[in-house]
Amino acid sequence: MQEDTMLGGYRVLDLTEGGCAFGGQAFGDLGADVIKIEPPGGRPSRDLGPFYKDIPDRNKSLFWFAYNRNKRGITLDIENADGRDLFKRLVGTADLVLESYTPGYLNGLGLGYSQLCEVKSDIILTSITPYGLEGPKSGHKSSDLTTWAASVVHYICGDPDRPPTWLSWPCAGIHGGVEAASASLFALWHREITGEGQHVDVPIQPYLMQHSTGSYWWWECMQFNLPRMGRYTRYFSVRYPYIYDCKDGYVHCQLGGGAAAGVANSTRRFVDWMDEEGMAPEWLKQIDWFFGFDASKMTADEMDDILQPFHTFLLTKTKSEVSEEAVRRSIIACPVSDSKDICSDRHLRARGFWQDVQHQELDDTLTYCGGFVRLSEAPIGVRRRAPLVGEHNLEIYEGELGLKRHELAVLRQANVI
Amino acid sequence: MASPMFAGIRVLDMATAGTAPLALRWMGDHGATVVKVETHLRLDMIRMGGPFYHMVTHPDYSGWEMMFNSSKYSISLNLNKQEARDVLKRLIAEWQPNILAESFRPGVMKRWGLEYESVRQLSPDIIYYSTCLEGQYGPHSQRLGFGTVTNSICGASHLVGSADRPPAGAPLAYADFPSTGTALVALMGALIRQRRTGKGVHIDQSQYESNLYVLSGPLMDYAVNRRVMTRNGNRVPYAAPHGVYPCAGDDRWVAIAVFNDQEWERFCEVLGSPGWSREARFATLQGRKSNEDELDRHVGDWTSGREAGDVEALMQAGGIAANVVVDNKDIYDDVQLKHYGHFREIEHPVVGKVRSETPPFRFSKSRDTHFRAPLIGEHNHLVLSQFLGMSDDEIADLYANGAVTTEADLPSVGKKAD
Repeated sequence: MQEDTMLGGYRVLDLTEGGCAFGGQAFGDLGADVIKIEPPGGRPSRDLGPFYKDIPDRNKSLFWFAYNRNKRGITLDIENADGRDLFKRLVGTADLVLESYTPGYLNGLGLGYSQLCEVKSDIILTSITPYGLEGPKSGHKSSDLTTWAASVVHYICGDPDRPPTWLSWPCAGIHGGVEAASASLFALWHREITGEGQHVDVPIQPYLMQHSTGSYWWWECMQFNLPRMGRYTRYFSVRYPYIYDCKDGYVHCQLGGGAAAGVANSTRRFVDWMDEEGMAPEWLKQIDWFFGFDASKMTADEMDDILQPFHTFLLTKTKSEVSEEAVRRSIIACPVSDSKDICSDRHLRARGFWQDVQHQELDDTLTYCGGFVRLSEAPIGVRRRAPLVGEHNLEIYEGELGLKRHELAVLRQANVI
Repeated sequence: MASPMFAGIRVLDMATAGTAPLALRWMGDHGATVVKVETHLRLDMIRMGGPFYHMVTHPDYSGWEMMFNSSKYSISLNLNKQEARDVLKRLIAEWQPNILAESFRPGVMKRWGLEYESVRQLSPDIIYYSTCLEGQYGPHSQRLGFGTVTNSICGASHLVGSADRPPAGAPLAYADFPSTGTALVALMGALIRQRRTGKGVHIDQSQYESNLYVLSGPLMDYAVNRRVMTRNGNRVPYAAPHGVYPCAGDDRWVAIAVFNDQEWERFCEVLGSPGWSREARFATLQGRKSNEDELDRHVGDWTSGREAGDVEALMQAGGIAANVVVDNKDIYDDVQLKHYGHFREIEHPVVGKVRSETPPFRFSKSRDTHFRAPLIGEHNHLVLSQFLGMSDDEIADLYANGAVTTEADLPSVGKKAD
């Protein structure tokens, strides 16, 4: 019996690069048959680290593993005439083609949307690009960092007295991948209803902009250019931190009050906790966090004085202690987690988040992130690890397209596959 | 023109804050009928937490409301009243929404008799989407928080800033949005399966887990190599210069990324091949990485007198990836967004003209049906009379017994000043 999945029966051809590969993986996670198509020798993003045991090898990139699971993989040179023919035969079997080339690249090869329609009239082609397929900047040279810069979120990210910074990891492409998966599913829905395919234009810039939490809406509403605030919350002229030093790192504590009732109640409970450990001065216990705390009327010195006992208290606590007590006491706080904290978090373990995946070629079992959501039916699972270079050539070319072995040998020698 | 993509699709949006509402707004932008269930008694932080038009701190003047809840209808109910819960149950049973979304602390919906098991009795094929910080079960499922807390717990905050400083934290509610994207993927998968099989599903979204795919590389790096990734400004191990450089004006910057030796040569030509750029220590990527502080200083000296837009143009002409670090004002003049008509001026009955946002992705065969955000409770009468067929008397009763909330129920901070 066929496994119950959300998207079982759909086929996706994934020509994407870098983090955009997450788009195809999301389809794979939901059960679609995703075929990763790489140039002979493999895609460049196989060269992105980190690597398994730090061995730089195209079949050992952890970046590749992380964004290409639940896919099969073939090599195919679509710049070559024979390769293009094979690609079109595959398109004939597919519902969706995902790509992240420079705008116009597929058109130039005779593999644009209209040419793909000649092969399969209801095909969906989804193109992920930094700026979009059209417009004055569509041909601009870009990188993950410059896409980040184009999207406002860079401007408001980082310390106020330093240049804007990103997340130390190229993730604009990853966000573009998830955008492409959503938009492709819109188009698939449209096809289910109307029977027609289409070309989906997925610019990363306007999607990534949303990750600024719409900071530009302050400009729209109030002509205010919201600045970087770093680890501080700013209320009028005073600012106060929400990231604090603790015994073994940093913790996030949303302190304060006033109109923000949830924060006021949380801060009161925080003071109760300090009091139980004899670390809440009498004056601090007297503050009415709802009616008696108005950051807009305070000076920076007054704010520092109020926060000092919290700083002192938190230095006696570990990330884990703050995390557990925050849950127990309904305090708005959590650890500022690094990858080690996340990998050892007991909550994620209790939810069975991590997935162990067998890597026979490494004679090892690796731990992967689980599904991006939990489903009561048709669950997300890691059904296969990311493909090695050309791992499923035989299975797909011979087994599914019916090519003869001697034909494959010719294609191999011509460096088509 | 063909009918909108989601014509006939019905969504009950009981969620607050950013994650679920934005995903559902994009469905509303393409023709789904999305009914937002809210209350005057405890205002959505979207209505009160962000910027306000005309400096009026009232839920109908919220800019964030335009961003997150356009293309929706709004009803205002006090769900602590049995009569209001009955209205909601009738909406589920009679209006038959395809999707119900909620973002309460786990347990709240059950207390109201509105958890998945009860709701599916009323509507067996419903897609019931729950979203919260750490998911519906597990030892920390009751953790309180919102987007900024997610930033920190999911590893994003730790990776923002400089190596010599404490984490600068990811900005505002950054981590709400990876959850928006994955939720939309799951909802669409569920909608397609609902149509194909007639089956519903409960989606349990932990926004913490929904963010981890963004960092799955570094997480695997720890799991395999025991390496803990840390923040490092704008740098990456495989490119230099790769960063943000000061330009003329106050807080103006340009991002530049140079990956290989060919690009480096072109980059030097754009700069006019100054003496330092010909030094042997900068000739190779390894050399540039080893001397990156000095390199960045030279590049910054060159950019600092120039307009950010001019540097972008010069770099692009030389085939080098560069972009102005676009600020909150610049974005409204962005030539790409203008080309796509991303911001669309629409009329709002209270605020006046609004530069509303259309969905970021574009379809060759479908147009959006974007419309303005609702006033709080604006569609009470429409939904109760047309979707549920209630008489005016029945509706008046709901107002009288407080099941439907009104302006009079606003907390003092949300009241309009005279």
